[in-house]
Amino acid sequence: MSFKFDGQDVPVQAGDTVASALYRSGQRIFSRSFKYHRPRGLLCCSGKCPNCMVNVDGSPNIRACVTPARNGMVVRHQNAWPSLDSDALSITQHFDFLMPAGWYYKVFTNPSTWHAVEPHIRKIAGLGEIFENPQGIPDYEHAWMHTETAVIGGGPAGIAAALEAAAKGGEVVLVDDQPELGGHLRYQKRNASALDDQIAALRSQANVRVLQRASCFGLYEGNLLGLLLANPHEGAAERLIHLRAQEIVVATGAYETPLLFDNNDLVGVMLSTAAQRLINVHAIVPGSRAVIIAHGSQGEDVNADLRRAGVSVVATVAPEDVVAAKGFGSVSGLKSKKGTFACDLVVMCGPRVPDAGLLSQAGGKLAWSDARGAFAPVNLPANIFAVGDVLGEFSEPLPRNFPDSKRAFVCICTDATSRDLKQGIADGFEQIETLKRYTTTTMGPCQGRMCQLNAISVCSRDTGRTMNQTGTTTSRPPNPGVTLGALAGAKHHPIRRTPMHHAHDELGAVWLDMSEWKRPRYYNPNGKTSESEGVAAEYRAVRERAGLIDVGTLGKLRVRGKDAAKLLDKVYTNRFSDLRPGRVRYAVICDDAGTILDDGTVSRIAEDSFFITTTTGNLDFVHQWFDWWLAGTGWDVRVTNVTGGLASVNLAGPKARDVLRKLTDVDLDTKAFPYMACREARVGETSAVLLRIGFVGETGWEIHYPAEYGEQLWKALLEAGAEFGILPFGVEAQRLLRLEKRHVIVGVDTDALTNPYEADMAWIAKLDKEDFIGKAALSRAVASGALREKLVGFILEGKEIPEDGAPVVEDGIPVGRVTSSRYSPHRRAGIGLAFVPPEKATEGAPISVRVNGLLRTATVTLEAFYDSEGARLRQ
Amino acid sequence: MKRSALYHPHKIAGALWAERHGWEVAASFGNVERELAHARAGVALSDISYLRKFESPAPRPGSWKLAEKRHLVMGEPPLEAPPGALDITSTYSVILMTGPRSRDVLCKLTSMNVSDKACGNLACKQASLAHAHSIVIRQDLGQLLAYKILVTRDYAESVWDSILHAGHEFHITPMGQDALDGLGA
Repeated sequence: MSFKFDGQDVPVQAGDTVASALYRSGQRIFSRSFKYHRPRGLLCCSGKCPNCMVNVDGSPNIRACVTPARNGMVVRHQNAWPSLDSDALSITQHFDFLMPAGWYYKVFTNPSTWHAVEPHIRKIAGLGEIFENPQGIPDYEHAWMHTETAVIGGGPAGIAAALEAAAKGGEVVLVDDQPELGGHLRYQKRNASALDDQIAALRSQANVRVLQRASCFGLYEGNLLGLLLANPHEGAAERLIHLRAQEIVVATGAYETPLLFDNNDLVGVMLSTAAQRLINVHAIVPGSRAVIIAHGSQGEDVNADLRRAGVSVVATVAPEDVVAAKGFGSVSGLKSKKGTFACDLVVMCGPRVPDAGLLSQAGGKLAWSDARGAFAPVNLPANIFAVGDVLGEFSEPLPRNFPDSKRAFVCICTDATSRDLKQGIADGFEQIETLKRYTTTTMGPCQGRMCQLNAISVCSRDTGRTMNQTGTTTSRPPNPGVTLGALAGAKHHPIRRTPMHHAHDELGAVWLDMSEWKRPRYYNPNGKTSESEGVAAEYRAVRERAGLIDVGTLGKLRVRGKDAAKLLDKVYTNRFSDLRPGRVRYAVICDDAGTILDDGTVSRIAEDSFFITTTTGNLDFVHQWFDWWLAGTGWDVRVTNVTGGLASVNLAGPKARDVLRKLTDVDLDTKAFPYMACREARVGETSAVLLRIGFVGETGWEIHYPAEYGEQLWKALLEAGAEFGILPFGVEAQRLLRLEKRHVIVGVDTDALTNPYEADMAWIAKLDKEDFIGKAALSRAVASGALREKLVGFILEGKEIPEDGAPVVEDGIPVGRVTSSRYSPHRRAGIGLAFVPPEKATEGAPISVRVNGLLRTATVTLEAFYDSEGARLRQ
Repeated sequence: MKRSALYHPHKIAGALWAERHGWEVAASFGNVERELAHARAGVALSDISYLRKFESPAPRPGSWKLAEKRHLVMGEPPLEAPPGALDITSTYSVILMTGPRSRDVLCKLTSMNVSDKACGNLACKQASLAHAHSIVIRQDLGQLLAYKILVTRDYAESVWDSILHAGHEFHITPMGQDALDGLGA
């Protein structure tokens, strides 16, 4: 097994991470630092620091030390040119005097200067780039879990807590971000057999689920935990798990952080736990001559591990005696007050920090204890518990003798040094939260893990405040970071299809997305029809012969019960209690302010049964609106959404009657079945509701029938209409046809403030009705006589068509806007609808419309552009 | 013949057709034994949209409560309409997910708690599933875990695809009526 690193083969052993395989093969520099491009090597070996971030299979900023090595993976270095070993940009560290803390806030105060240099700074001081993955975009997925107890952390404390919870009989989920359970006992090999027994006991519990290689990135309201599971199965990159738990036990332990001294970032300076991981987990000898920095007996364990691995430990130095690490790029010695020791490895036994981010996110507080040398969690909310090292019950006082140096790195993510922090405090940013923002300390990829304690220490000392007074920065989720792919989840967008969807595909439909619905925009049957040709042909078919459109996306509701008419009178502006069975009425819903919310048709099927259509996008709203106004009335009304169950088509055109007659026995003569009438009848092999209405302005029927016959009747209608030259037509032709009739589309030709008077539909508001939603506001509007604007039709001189939203201009000032405009084949001119000032809303008034940047004259009309008498509708 | 919303995905999956109560249904996808084996050991997915469904204002024997005065009555045709009920057979597609891994598939599609404690046999729940409002009824086939998922017909194909995608890791397979009859469904 092997993988490629910068084009070179790297052999892989079982259990290797990318970093362990690279380290074994001799690689020591893993990255270049963010700002100064200083070489960086392994520091924590536990996925917490930024030093081993590489590009894996095209994805940047992957931590090599926790990423399992897989055969054939392509690994590349990042943020170095031309190579990791010799990075030309490392010259920037010699100009550090030009770039003190907050330098860009001081230098780039002029926006144009900033915009000029920003791309260059980003290039020099970047993290990784995204490359195309040869295997394509990986799959991401989401999953939801529920449990009684969630234990975060699979170390000894977490395992014990999980066993205890499991013994009580509840469901337990144990989450651990490592490939194996055991926490620090995995690399600090003490009492290993007892651990194995506990793990075996845990695995034998049927009520315990163990999630390994799952990092917990956040604790949210309602005890919701965000987990990220890497490679959940073949073909999936990550799974984001939403885990809801009744109680949460945080057993995240503590992690080691670096000490502060000159050149503490040199390659070869690593944490003691990192050295132990290399030795005890990966069987790697981390160096040949090592110096340990430790308090008293603190370094004994790592000393024993190093010696056992064959490393010569030349000295153990107390932190307060350290002066500087020596070396150019890689460490070659450690200078202390007691002498200089030549070495290729410096092992820091740094202060441990409780990994208490989740507890903070849960609402717990952190309090400093000098005796413990740690911020420990206090005041945990109900149902949140902490066990083990996360409680910070150590006794390791913090070293306080750090230098003010431009090479003592506090924040290794962004190259902020102790001197930068001092400068920031001198500039007035003496609160830890403002110092953080000013110097970017704790804002890098480690999210404060490696630097927070040192930053607080420097801030505390330089401001003369105690650690508690200084406080901590805030832990916010996601921590650790989450890929955008994981947040987005599976590549599955919901799609709503009408029953004729696949028939449209066969006819060459060009699709239009309308929220989740797919609708044919126009048909391109031979693959060569342009949109304008297709729409023109479909338009002619409807005006001259017959056309068929799928209107299945219309919202459809059945409203039943003896008080149904009462409800409709309440929510619609016009009256329905006097609508006779077998009749249809246009209907508008307004809100309390009189603003138009939706329109549609109401058909009375029987005395206590209505069939209602709504606009495509507003069905759910209208349904909820009905339920809302029904609540508490005690009225006998049942509202049922039947949208999905009905196929709906509109058959329209002068030959529509001839087509339909071939498929139904119902008398279609205009005397027997007049305009705005409805009938229940059989059409073809199915029962149907027929509404004689005319959105497109021709004799026509809207036919609603059971969806399981969707394709069958659609095809039967097209077949029956073939002899008359019928064509299926799409949304674009429909929009043109309805515009010629000056029929509005709510939401297109109305906005969030339009009332019926402004939309030129005064007749729809029946103010003599006892009450309806919006009556008070509309009555006031009538009484005041003041209109904001008015919707009118206009006919342009010339054939140029303004875009939707184009301004109507008067004396150089926009006074209105176009809501819809198309070229009308009937008028042989551009036509449209526009909002204009009320005084312009008179027949024949001239207005100016901006078209393609030029003002064009148009004439206002209050009539329909086509068949203004409505004779064709009633034929 | 009546066609469910899943006619076209079934056709692409190689369905062999049969007639059932006037509906064109998938008898099998070529290998009944294989479909049965998946249902028993893994997870299988079937379309049983031909079931008759009514929304009844009052509870009926074996009905499922959806809300106040809204009860779902569902069964093999011919099923007589209860008094005052609205026929919603066409409105809802019914997807049947069968097999021990079906709960694991559901966990990838809905935030609803589908654990045995929260959603035991004969539970009826409503939740967003694969981004569509769904009625989920757990009705085991003997000892075999099984869920009926009702979504409005317009979402059915999209939800079907999402379930297949989520179940890919468990080797989910479409299952026809012959195998379903074999399971005693």
